[in-house]
Amino acid sequence: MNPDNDEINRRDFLIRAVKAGICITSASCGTYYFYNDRGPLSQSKPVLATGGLSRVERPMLPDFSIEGLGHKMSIVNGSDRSKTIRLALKALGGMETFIKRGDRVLIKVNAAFATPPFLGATTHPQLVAEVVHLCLEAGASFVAVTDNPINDPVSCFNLTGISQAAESAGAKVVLPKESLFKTMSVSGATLIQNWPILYRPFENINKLIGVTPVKHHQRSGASMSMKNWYGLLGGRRNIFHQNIHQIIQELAMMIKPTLVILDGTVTMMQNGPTGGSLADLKQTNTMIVSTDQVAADAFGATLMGKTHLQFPYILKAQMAGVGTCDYQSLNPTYLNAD
Amino acid sequence: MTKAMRPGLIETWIGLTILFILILIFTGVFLKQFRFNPAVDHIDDVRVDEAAQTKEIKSPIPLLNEKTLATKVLEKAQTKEVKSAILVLNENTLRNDLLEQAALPHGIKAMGEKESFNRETLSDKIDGKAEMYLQAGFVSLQCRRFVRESDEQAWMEIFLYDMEAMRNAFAAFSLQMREDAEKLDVAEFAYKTQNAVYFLHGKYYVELISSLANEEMIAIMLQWTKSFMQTVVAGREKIPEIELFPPENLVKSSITLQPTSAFGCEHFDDIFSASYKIDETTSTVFLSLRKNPREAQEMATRYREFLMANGGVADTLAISIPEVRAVNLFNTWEVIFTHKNLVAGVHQVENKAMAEKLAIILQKIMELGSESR
Repeated sequence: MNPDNDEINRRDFLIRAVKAGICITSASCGTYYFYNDRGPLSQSKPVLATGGLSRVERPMLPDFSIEGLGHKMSIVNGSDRSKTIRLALKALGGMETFIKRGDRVLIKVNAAFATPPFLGATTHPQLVAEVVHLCLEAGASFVAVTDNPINDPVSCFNLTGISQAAESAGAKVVLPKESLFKTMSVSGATLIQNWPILYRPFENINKLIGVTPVKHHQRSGASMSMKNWYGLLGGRRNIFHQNIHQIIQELAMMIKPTLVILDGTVTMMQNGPTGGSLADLKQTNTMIVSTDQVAADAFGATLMGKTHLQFPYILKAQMAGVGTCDYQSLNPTYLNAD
Repeated sequence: MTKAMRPGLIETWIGLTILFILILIFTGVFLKQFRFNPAVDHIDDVRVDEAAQTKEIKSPIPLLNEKTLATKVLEKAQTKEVKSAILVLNENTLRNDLLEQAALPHGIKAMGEKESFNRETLSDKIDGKAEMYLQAGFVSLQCRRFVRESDEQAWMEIFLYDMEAMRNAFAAFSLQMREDAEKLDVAEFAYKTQNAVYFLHGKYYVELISSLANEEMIAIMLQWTKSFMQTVVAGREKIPEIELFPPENLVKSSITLQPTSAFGCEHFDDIFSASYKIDETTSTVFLSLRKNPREAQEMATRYREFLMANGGVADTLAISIPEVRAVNLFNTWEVIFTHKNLVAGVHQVENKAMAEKLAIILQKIMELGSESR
C-alpha cells in the first residue's frame, strides 16, 4: 500500500461501512422502538396503581357539590333577572348556603357565539354580573368567569357583554388558550378519554357554578345546564355532534357543580343553538336554580313545551346516576318575583 | 492512522452539519411529543351511534384558494407578458369577494376580519346547526360584521352561504323560516323579523343579523341587500315543486324542503311540505318530484313501510285515488300516493275526513300540473 495514496483502501472502507451500518441500524431500531401510531391511546388500557384505581380512570376534576346539602331546587317567575336570581337563591337559603367566606369560585357561562345578549344564544350579562355580585357578597375571595366559545373568544366575550359585566362586577374573565388545556378522561366514559379539557381555570377553585340560558339545539334538541359543559371541551369537539346525547351524559358525569342556574327568562324555541332572530325567542320568565343539573334540565324542557322524555340525554344522565329527571321529587320552591 | 484514513476538512464539516441537523430534529420531536394533542388523532376511536349518524353528505367541494392557485400559475408562466396578464387576472379574482361586492351603506364600515368556512369548518362558526346546511348541499360560508360609524353598539353580521344550487338554498331558507316573518319584496324568497333580514339570491342564502332591533338597522340591512342583488350575478332556477302546491288555503310561507330523512324516515329525501288551514284545522301535505314513476313508487313504499314499522296500522279511505295508501299512526292519518313521477300525501292529520279531502285536492292539482308540463 502506498502511504501517500489518498484513496481509501478496502480495509478502511469496510471498517467505515460497518460503523455506518451500525449507526443506521441503531437509529432505525430506536425509531421503531419509540414509534407509536396510536399516540397516547395505545396506553389507555387501565394500569392498576396503588389504591385500586387505574391511572386512566382516576377522576381528574374535583367534586364541587356541597356534601350533605342534598338535591335542592327553586323556580322563580319574573322578567327581571337580578330579582329572580336573588329570590331563587334566597329560597334555598341564600348564596351563603353555597359560597362561604374565602371561597374561590369559577362561573362557567355560555359565551359560545359572538351575538348580542338579547338574542338569547348566550348567558345574559345582567345575570352574570348579578351572580358575581352575589358570590362576592357571600364572601368569595375570588371569582372567575370562563368558557371555550365556538367562535373567536375575544369577540364572543365582548359582543355578548359578558366580559364587561363580569369585570365590572369584580370577576376575572379567563379566556381559553392552549396552555390552559389538559388531557383528561372520565371514569366509565367512552368518548371523553384522553381529551383536552379547559382545566387550568379549575386549579385553586373550590366552587363551581354553571350559568346558561334555555335554548333549542339542532342536534340534541336542547342546550341547557348539562350541555353548558360542552364549552370545556377542546380539540375537534364537533366530532361529538355525531353522538350528542352520549357526550352530554359524559359531560354531566365529569362535572359535579356546586350549583346550576338555568335562565329561562327568555327561551330560544327554534333555530338553535345560534338563533339569530327575536322571532326565535319566547318570553318564559322563569329562573331555575338547582344542585341537580338533571332535574334543572328536566324542568327546563317544559319551558320549550316539551318533556324530558323528548331529550334522550336527560334520561341517559339519570341512568348514569348524575341526578333525577323527576324534579318534583326535589320539592322545588315556586316563587313569583313580579 | 495513515493519511489516507483521515477524512478531509470538507467531509468533516459536512458530517458535523448533518449531525447537528439530526440533533435539532431529535430535540424538536422529543419536545413536541410531550405536547401531543390526542384530540387530533382521537377521531377514529369515537364510537358513532349508527342511529344518530348523519346522513351521507355530498363529497366536499374544496374552496379554491386563489392565492395558492395564482402562485402556482405564475411560477409556470414563461414570458413577462404572460406573467403580467396573470397578475391582473388574479387581482380581479381576489377582488371577487362577494361580501365586498355590495356597496356598503353610508356610515357603515367593516368591523373585524372577514371569516370563511367550508364543509370541514362550518361547525366552527354555527356549531350544531352545521349538519342541516351540510345535508342541504352547503359549499362555503363567508361572514363579516359591519358597524355604524356613529354608534359602535349598532352592528350587523352578514352570513353569505353558498349552497351550490338555488334549490339547496331554499332548503336552508325554508327550514329556518320564522312564523311571524314579514315577507319582503326585494326577492322572491325574502323576509324580515325585528332584527334580521333573510333572503335567497340564486344559490346564495343570506342572513343579516343586527345587534339592535330597530327600523334604522333594518333599513341599512335592506339597503345592503338591494346592492348585493344588483351587483352579484346569480342565476335563478325554477323549483317546480313549489308551484305544485294548491294555493287555496295554503298557509303563507309554509312551504319547506327537507333534503334528507323527512318525517324521520331514512332515505325519504327531497320532500317538499306545506301547511293548509281548512275549517280552523292546520294540516301538512307533502310532495316530491322523482326521476321517474318507478322511483316515486319506491319512495311511497319506503315511507309506508317506515310508518308500519313504527306502529302504524293500515287503513282504507273513501276516495278514488289510484293505489292510495293510508296509515293510522296513533290516531293521526298519513296518506301516500303517486302520480307519474310525483310522490305525495298528507302527514299527521288528526281528522280522517280532512286527510281524504286534502289528498283529493292534492291529486287534482298534480294531475292538472302534469298535463300542463
